[in-house]
Amino acid sequence: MANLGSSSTAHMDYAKKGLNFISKHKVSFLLFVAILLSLHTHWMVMREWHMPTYGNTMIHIASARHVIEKGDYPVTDYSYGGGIPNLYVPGYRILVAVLVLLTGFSLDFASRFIVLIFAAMVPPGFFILGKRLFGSGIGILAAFASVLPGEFLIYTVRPLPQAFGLILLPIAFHAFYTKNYRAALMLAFAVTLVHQEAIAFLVGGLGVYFGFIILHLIWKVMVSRGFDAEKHSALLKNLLLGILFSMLVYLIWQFAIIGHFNIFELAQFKNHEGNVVSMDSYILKTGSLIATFAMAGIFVCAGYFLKYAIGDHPGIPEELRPGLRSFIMFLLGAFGSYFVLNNFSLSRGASMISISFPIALGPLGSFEIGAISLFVGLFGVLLLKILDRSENYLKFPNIAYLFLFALFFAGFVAVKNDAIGLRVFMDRFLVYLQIPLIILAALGADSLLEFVKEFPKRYLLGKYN
Amino acid sequence: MVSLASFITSAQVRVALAVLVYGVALISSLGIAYFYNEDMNKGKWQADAWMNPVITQEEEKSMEWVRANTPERETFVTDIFGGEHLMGESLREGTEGGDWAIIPNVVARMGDVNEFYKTSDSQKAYEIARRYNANYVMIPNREVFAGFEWLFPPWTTREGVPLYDTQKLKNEQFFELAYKDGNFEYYKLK
Repeated sequence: MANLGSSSTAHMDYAKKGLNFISKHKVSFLLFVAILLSLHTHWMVMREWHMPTYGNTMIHIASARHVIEKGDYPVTDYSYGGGIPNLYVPGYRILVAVLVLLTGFSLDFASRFIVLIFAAMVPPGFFILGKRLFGSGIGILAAFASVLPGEFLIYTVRPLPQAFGLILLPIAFHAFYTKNYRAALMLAFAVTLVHQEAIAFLVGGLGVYFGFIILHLIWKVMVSRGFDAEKHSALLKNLLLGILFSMLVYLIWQFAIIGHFNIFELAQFKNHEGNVVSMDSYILKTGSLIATFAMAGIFVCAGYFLKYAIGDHPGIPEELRPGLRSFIMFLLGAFGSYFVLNNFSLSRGASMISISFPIALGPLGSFEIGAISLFVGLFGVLLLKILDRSENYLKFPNIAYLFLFALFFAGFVAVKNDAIGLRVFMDRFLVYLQIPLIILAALGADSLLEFVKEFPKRYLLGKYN
Repeated sequence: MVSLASFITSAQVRVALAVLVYGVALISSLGIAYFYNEDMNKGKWQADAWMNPVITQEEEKSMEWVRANTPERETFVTDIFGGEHLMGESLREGTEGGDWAIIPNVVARMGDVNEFYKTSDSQKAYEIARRYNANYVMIPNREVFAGFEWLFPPWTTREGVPLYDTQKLKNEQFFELAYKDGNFEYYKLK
């Protein structure tokens, strides 16, 4: 018995030490779990007798094989009977070739191995971006959220340049946001030579951010508040440099290969490649959790912008400002949810709503949609009222919301470009929109957690009275 | 500050409501864990559909013959999957498959190759193959996809699906069998 007792004490000690270790390294531990989940979802790439071939994966193998066997990069493409310049940017193909040359792996295994490396890099990329914008908690939530969207998995589980671009983008955005411009330019260079759509999204996101900052400065001038001209001009100058540099690198590549700069001559533009994204396909490919929490995140961002705008405006009497903001946020919440609920099939919608409200609502008619929309509007106002007084949220810089919203806006316009008559790529950009959506979902989830923590304390237990 | 606490005077009721809020939050977090797992599985299910290699093991095995018996960048009539596999494994070229960004008249080419596989007219097939400088034809032991529709092999047991034709290739005026492994074949153009 004595032995048993001492052995159980020893086990207890080990368990305690283990728990202490985990608690001390909580963030690293959770990030590790998120990485394991990502590897779990990507492991399917190892299953078949041959690497996946959907998505033109083998055209990159052809260029990689050429590099390995001939020792140079093929300037003439193998595609569609050959004889055409090899326009596709070469970064990913060279990476595969180098891995094969260094390790002796087969091209098939090297390609699958790279997918697993990318899988391990997905959560850390979102963690560092989320952490830098809104703190470790949101970084960890973003790392876990990054495992969920089906579309993101579809593009990262296949050995494709898109996967590499999607891994690099959060890191590149992080570098631009932290104003580490040397790293940012190097990453922009890498993204440019890895995948054309990825660089389009990088340039688009930074471009919208640039535009938002200009609008912000115009607003400051309009409400007669000064701004730090030196600080803002440095930020704008470096953003512009990043945008122009990325565009230039790609255009030089295109000109060197096909002799002109006109991207609208490409078949994808001429043939309007891509499909329209409906609310149903958006939710299916993004996942109901990310879609729901990202909406909460967008609402929170909008609340902060409005607070900033109304709070600054000298023409609005001070006593009217909180009420005006609450009224506008109520309308945004109510009409926003009404629009969403009316634009996707309710059978799936019911399950999504049941996450927001712990009640299974089942198939709904328009009256119920109206009632839910009013509820969402009112809930949104209450949520922001709580967040406004939360210490956590006050410490986040406005620019973090602006940056994240800029990325969301760029992705949204790219996905819904059919609305402005372009009708090109559309669903191909959904996976890029999912980068800000993942961070927005983390922000939304964290806001709701904050609400649950603070609401009873503030309104029921009267701790702050 | 105006709060619910001002209206609900009984401390016990307020505490009970607070417990209710925490309880609902707890149940919601279980719901979130459930939907996290659901969404992850749905994502895997969506991605799983893209894991199918489409090409066959006979197709892979035939690459040895291709490398040994044809010059580099030789052109074969292929569908998209066949052409991309061929270029990746052997540095030969298919009439279809690859990056279509700057291919001239690429949509017409897809229509022609689709017609090549469908038609039973040997001369028409031969002319299409020659139009795209092909010297060989790949007949894979699987469905083919040349950009518009999936065409099934003539020996398929599925009913009501569009088929591709292989009889036209038996016309020795235009084609000769160069390689055969079960139902997987290469023909050489005359």
